[in-house]
Amino acid sequence: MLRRHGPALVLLARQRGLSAADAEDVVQEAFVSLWKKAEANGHVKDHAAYLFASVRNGSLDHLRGESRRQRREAIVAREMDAGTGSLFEQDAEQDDLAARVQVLLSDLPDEQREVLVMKVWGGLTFAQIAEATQQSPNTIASRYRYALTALRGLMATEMQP
Amino acid sequence: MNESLHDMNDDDLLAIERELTKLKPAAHSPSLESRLEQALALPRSRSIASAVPLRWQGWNLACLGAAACLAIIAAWHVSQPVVVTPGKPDVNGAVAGVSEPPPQSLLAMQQAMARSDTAALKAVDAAAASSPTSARTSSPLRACNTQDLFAVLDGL
Repeated sequence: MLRRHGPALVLLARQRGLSAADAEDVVQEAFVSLWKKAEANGHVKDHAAYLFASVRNGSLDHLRGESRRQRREAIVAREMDAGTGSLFEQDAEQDDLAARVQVLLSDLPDEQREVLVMKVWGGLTFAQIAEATQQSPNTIASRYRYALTALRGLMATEMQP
Repeated sequence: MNESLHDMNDDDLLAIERELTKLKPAAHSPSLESRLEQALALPRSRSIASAVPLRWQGWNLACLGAAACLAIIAAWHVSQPVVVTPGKPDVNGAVAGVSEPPPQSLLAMQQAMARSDTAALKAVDAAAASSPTSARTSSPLRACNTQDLFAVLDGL
């Protein structure tokens, strides 16, 4: 389950602005939380939705506090300078696309970006994302469409000379 | 609800979705897997012991320890010889060297026995006084002839 969902979960935490180390901590806590909940209740309705919800909420908790935010931004900036801050796998053919998408993602509103990450890279259905974010599936579908529309607009702007 | 952009009828958005899916999220560090294994192993090993909650384990140990101490103290106390110090009350409250006052009924019985003994002694004394061999004696023993006494002793 870690191999299947781990990268997307880390991506979800990192697109929120967490450093790589903090993002992995949040993912680890999400898995431990899932394990404890499954042990206590014996049943978790949707493991993937639970994990993404835990990482989402854990990331938000992690970001609380001004001093922590400033420290996190400094770490992320150092990672970007060192070339280790890429959210996507390094691939010669996709490097340019990855760099562009990473920049464009940061321009999206948080609620649209998280839906995009869960849908495209997490492989979750709208119903699962709705459960993870405590929103209605129609709201999630709308946010997804808005996110892609916004990306299309940003890409078109980029392409203009 | 549209599960994919095919239902949205928007080729541009569909093309963007395809582009995005070409990208793979950066893999997490290998250490995350080992850290997660350790994190999950810790509560798992703890869960074996937590079949009985920790606080109950503590209480059980405390109760067992207290019971063991009481048993040891009781065994030691029983094995000790009873030392009675004159003038000091023993464990039962009795004072060595000082006789307890008898109950009223027992006292009355003893007094009655004393009175009957006195009467018997008086009767013996009266008989002895009338005897020619022991006219000077007033005690029953003195009233007995020595030879008679030895004869009695030989018969025993």
